[in-house]
Amino acid sequence: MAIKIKILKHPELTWFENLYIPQILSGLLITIKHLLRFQPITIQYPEEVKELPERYRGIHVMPADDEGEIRCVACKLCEVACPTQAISIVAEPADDYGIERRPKVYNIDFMRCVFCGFCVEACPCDALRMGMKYELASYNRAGLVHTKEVFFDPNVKSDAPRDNANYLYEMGKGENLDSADEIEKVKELTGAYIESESQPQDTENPFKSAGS
Amino acid sequence: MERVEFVSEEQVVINEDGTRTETMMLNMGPQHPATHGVLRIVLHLDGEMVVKAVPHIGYLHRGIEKLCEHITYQQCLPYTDRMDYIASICNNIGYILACEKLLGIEDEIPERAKVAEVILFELGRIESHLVGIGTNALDLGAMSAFLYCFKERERIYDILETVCGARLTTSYPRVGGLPLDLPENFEEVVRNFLKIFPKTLHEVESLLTRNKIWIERTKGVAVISAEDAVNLGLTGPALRGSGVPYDVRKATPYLGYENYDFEVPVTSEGDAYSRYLCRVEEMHQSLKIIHQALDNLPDGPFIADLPDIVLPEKELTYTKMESLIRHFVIVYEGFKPPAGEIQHAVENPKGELSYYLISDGSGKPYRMRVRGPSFVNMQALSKMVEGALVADVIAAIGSLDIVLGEIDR
Ligand code: SF4
Ligand code: SF4
Repeated sequence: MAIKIKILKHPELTWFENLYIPQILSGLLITIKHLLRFQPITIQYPEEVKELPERYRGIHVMPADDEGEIRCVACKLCEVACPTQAISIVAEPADDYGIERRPKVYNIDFMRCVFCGFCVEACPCDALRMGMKYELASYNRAGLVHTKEVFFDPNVKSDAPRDNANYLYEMGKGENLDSADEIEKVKELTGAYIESESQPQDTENPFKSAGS
Repeated sequence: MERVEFVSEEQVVINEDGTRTETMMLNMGPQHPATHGVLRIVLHLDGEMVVKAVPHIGYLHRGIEKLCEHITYQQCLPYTDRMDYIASICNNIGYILACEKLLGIEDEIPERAKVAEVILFELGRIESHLVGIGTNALDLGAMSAFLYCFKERERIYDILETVCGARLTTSYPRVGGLPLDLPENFEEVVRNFLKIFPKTLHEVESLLTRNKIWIERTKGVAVISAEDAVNLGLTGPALRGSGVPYDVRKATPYLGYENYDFEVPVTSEGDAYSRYLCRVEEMHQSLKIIHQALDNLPDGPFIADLPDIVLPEKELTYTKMESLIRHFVIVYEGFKPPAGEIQHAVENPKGELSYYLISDGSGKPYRMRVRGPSFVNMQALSKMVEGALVADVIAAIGSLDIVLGEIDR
């Protein structure tokens, strides 16, 4: 394929253009035109706030679940996905309506965070989203490490299904997980598991292989 | 402590009548506003003439290439934003294309993603050239051209913000396509921009192209011959300004550039003014490409269906155990390209940007090497300014359009 080339020539200036004054005047004409149709693209920032698009990646927000609790289950996937190791999580056991883990500590260090949004992409529970706030100034470093209390916003609801968080969630909201009923329910649900348990096992030599 | 010699022997000349003259050493930068970052140039001056110019780099070194050896391929993406931060979307797309080549999945990328990437790439090019021309003009005293350029750049940033969620640090496409489909109003905002932009471009042109003062400051300044340009490895407008019609989009097309109708602008003089003309014409050509791409933007999938590489849909992650496990594995380990090495070049606004990736079969690159256009183009600076006036050094740096984030990496 032949490459299409466009050869540009330096323009020859007419004697009129070679006089400095007309060039300066024609330049001024353009700037004066701009002055007359005054359409600033800047905004008066603290008074006026820019309208942000839906996808804007600002300070993180943690939405609430149906019970008004934090959705995060401390799976630490966001911590792994973060390219700058900005997130630190300490998990604790929980016993709420089928959720087994909760974050005890969930901090994002905004001295490290680059607002790439990979943590949000990685979260399997819709427990983290990029918000619309971007004013991050602080008088000291400690003020830039935000905790889960800062991110958590009970007004942001998530309608993402939660089947994987715990399949008992739908069936036994608020029930004691350890009750015999629940264990029965689990066994009912996981029929395959019970079946495999009842299969006869080769107890004599578990390491026996076909070749030997 | 060793005494630091500021004057070397060869700089000292003993005249016939016994008087002694020496060249003056002048540090330009690293805080000089016209060095476009933190570039330091040590100038040896004989009066107003530059005898020798030695650029010193490294003030912005962050070790990006080394850092990338310790994170997954996906996590390298935000680092590429921070190389040529004037056109970060172009760096992103270049990196993603290199990863796709390493994985051998170029043919499986959906058409919609490719066309969208072309549009974003060309928007990035326009943005970068606007900054290049604007700051070059500002350094030489033309304030209004700079302001009009930045006004248009703002509009491009608004488009990028609606698509990517960030203005400067876009981190947008993913290996396999786009992470989210283009927003609904994408076509509308881009067409709106295409309507407004040519007017401003025309204004900038009428402020500069036939302006006697601008021509005096740039014509015949910072000349580099075609032979020198090729020998030094210049690319982009710096090479085409010297009359060599080399463009990666034509030489080794990627993203389907062979299907677009555009021309490669060249000028033969090799001075700062030629490079300016090339940049302006390239913006016109980019507009042409965006028009064609928008007309042919197909509907359909925006990310490839590759279970080992691409994260499953969110809806499936929330509801299906298999997808959840796949999601965890991809996030934890990253995708694993087969062992091997590739090199992929794209035509960045400033020149040829190429990524050289070595994979050892794990989820992290064994080595990532970046050939940045600014780094190579800056080599020409010493050659350009020797024998010129001090004031021309500013014009030379501006016309090379270097960005220090990429030189130092
Ligand atoms: S936005 Fe990016 S850098 Fe910030 S916490 Fe999330 S993954 Fe880490
Ligand atoms: S925010 Fe999401 S990814 Fe991070 S620990 Fe919580 S549930 Fe896991």
